[in-house]
Amino acid sequence: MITSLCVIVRRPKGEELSTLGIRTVYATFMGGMDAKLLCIEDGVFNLLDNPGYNTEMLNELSKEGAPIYALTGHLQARGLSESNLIAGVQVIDPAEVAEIIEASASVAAF
Amino acid sequence: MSKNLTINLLSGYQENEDALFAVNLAEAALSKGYGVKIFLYGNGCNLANQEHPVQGASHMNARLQAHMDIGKIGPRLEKIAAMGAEIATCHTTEYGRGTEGDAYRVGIKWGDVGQSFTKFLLTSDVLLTFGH
Repeated sequence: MITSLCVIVRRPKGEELSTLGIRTVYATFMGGMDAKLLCIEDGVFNLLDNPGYNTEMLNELSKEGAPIYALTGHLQARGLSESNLIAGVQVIDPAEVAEIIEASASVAAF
Repeated sequence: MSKNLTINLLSGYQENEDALFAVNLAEAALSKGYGVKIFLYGNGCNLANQEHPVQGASHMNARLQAHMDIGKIGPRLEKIAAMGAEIATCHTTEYGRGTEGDAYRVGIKWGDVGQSFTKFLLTSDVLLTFGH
């Protein structure tokens, strides 16, 4: 039985894969699953405080306490920092990514 | 007790080989006694519906048609459903493509992320996501 899920989103807002990934975290977390979101590569752009469906889902997830992570090096490579992101995002390094994935029963990349 | 595999398929017909690979994997797993569940998400939802063949003469030559037929794995989805696979599609991604309400292939069911996909996970041992 899979009861925990780490969803990795690599694509930015505007591409359907980003919405599918965030939607997967939203639906499974709100349904009681131990679901987490990790944004890497251009997926970190989803975490900017812009209007739209992706941001609405992310803000609701954040308010409900869902873990939302961004990889620090991928933010820096795109000229972004924690101050640019919506509230509740945890900026992590690669070693922490490994820990999060090891602690998850399943991983899905979008 | 056999293990269960959930395949989260994000790609549809023709765009790449993900759907073909997923069906090959599902057939192999089923034939070895594993349980298989497939969630058709994103463009994967295009695989869920019955086809609407053109009436009358085709405008494709035989060579092109044979090439396109390689990626038309819909009938194989019906086959693996008959072998015991549970297959559900995401009605929201169908809505986005204007296909929500179209008839499904035999063995494929209406579904969503919050219920169908989550249930698949809760009854599976392994999750694989295909698509890019």
